[in-house]
Amino acid sequence: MVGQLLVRFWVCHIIFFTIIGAIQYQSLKESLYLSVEQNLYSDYQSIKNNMSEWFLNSKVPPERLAELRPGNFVAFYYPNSRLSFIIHSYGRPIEAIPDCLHEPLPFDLYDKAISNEPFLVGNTKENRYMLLVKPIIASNYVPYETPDDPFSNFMRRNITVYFPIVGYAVIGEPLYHADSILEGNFYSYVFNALIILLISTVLTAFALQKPLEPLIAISSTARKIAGGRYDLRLPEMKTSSEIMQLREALNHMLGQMEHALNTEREAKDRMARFIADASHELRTPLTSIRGFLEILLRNKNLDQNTLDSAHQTMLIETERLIRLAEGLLALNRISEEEPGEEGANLQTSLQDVLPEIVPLFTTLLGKRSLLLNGQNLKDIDKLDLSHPTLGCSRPLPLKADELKQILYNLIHNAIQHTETNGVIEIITAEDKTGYSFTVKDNGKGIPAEDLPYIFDRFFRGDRSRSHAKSQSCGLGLAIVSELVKLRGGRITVQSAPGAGASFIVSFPIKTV
Amino acid sequence: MAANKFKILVVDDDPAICQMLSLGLTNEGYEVKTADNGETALQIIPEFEPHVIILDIMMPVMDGYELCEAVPAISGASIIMLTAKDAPKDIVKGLRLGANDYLVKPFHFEELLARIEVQLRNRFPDLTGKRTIGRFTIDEMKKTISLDGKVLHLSPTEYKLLSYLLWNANQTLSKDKILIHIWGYDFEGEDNIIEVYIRYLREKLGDSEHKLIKTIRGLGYRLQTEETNT
Repeated sequence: MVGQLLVRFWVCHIIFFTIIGAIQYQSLKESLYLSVEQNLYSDYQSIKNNMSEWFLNSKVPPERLAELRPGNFVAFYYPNSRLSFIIHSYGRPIEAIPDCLHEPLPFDLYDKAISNEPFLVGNTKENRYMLLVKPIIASNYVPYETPDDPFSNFMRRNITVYFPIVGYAVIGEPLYHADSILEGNFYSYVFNALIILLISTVLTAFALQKPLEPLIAISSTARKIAGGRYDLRLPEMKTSSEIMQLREALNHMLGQMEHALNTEREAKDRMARFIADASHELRTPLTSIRGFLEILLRNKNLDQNTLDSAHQTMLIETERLIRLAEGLLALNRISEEEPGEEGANLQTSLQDVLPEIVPLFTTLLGKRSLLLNGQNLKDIDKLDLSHPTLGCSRPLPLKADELKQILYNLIHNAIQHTETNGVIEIITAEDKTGYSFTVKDNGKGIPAEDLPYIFDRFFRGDRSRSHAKSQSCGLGLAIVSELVKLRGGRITVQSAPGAGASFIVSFPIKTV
Repeated sequence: MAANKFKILVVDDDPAICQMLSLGLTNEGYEVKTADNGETALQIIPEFEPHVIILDIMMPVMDGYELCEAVPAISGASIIMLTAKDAPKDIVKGLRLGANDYLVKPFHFEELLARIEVQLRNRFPDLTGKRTIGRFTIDEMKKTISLDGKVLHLSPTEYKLLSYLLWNANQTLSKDKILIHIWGYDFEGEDNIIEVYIRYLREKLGDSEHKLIKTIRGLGYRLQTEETNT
């Protein structure tokens, strides 16, 4: 991220420096060349009065050279571009005179003289000059006419020359000095620009680091999260509001994802536990049945009592397997059932199912008593269940089968956890918010640490005891709980050790 | 035959399985007792002195793993775990905690018999209940130990102590280990009871030079069956 930004930064700065440099170079060059140009004009001014004299005499008095600027020179040409002679100022090496002056000039002297502008010749750094061409006009010149005399040619290109031009002076100044200033300036500019670029890169990298810190923190946290630390969240940061918003949005997303993951994991764990429990519950009776059969096959001469006892146990274990299979099927049916619209239209009341349920418990109950709102149900045939004082005519949003199963399992559970003198009570209640019935026993109660698990599949409070005596498969309360939840109701349990247990099934009023 | 029985303790909370194993193993000639949880088993072990313990893992009060850890201190019995848990990690855990073998429910009864015999053969190679260790011979059934063929007259505690030293021959046993193994966790007598009994044993073995039972200073005792120069 920082690297990418720095590259962009470099590119921008290089373009910027190039433009600035080019402008600066151009203006420096112009001002340097302008001063050279001015030098040439001033040289011309200083020698212009003597030029025609020098030219016509073809010689220069040495003292006149002082009038030229050091290093500058003057070359005199005849109008036919023939070099007459060259004078140069002292202080400069003579080889500085450009080669081109020794030959017939490649440019048109007349045009240059008319345009009155300095121009550049030479192609190498050491051999570059600025030249100014000036016509030499002889004020005392007397024209004489010969047909082939070039001096008599007064008229050229429709321009009327009133004074005869006797020749041309080319005044030159080497550009060595100006060019070396330009070059030195160019190199120092490039050098300085690179230094500035380097320093600003370092500074920018530091400066960028600070606002980018949150992003770096986000990415490092994201990597950790990807590595499985789903509980991690992006840290609180002092930074711009955009990053804060990003952080909040990401944290929200992470929260949702973690929640979804946890839910799935829990469901998976629950399923794995259920399968492990179910297989354990299946294996135990199978083990004893198979063991008994193998033992009976090995020992042919067992006495009748032993055989009976073995057969009895195998039968009990087989029944346990059947109940387990039924329980699992019931649970499976519930999980496939859709609560849907149907739930609201289902109507079954306690009075519809009690006459069928109660006789099933006659033997199991023994000396225990089963009460409905205080009324003993021993002789249920003789009771008028629809009587309002019994309070069991209120319809519940359940199918008849479902209510039967719920009641059966709860009463069965109560019988198992009470002594032979136990009292099991069904109590109905109704208020503005809903309708409920409670199955209450006066047994030994449920320890507080077991309460959260009481509706879990295969949970048994006191396993050794329930194994020995009960017909339970560990699914009864789980089935009740699933059925009640399916139809929009709630089941709760209230219990304390020694104080019995109450299972309260309630439905809110709107579904009733 | 009654005196010549190997003893097996079945620990399982499922009464049907206890009943089945009890019937089956009794008919194979073993003396069987059952316990329906780990705590009951711990009470039974010292007096019953089983040779093999068949152990379920998932039990109330004290589970199989806990019992598995507690047994070696008080008994030399082999442990066969018998459980519905068949995940490799459960098997590994059981074996690491000291189980000698592991069998997953449901199992073949004959396989269980064979595995019990393996455990017994480890201690009594000919399955007669006799085992020769160095100059000693232990007869587990008659509860006698003989030295060079002569039966030693030992009290029950002396027998227990000597057989414990013999089963762990050439290993140094700390006083704590011996105390717990012979007298149990809740023994509240004098520490020097071990020294007293070791002296009795040396007298009966004629080991006045401490060549058979060596005192390892600061560590405990060692019964030497191999000739060494030390």
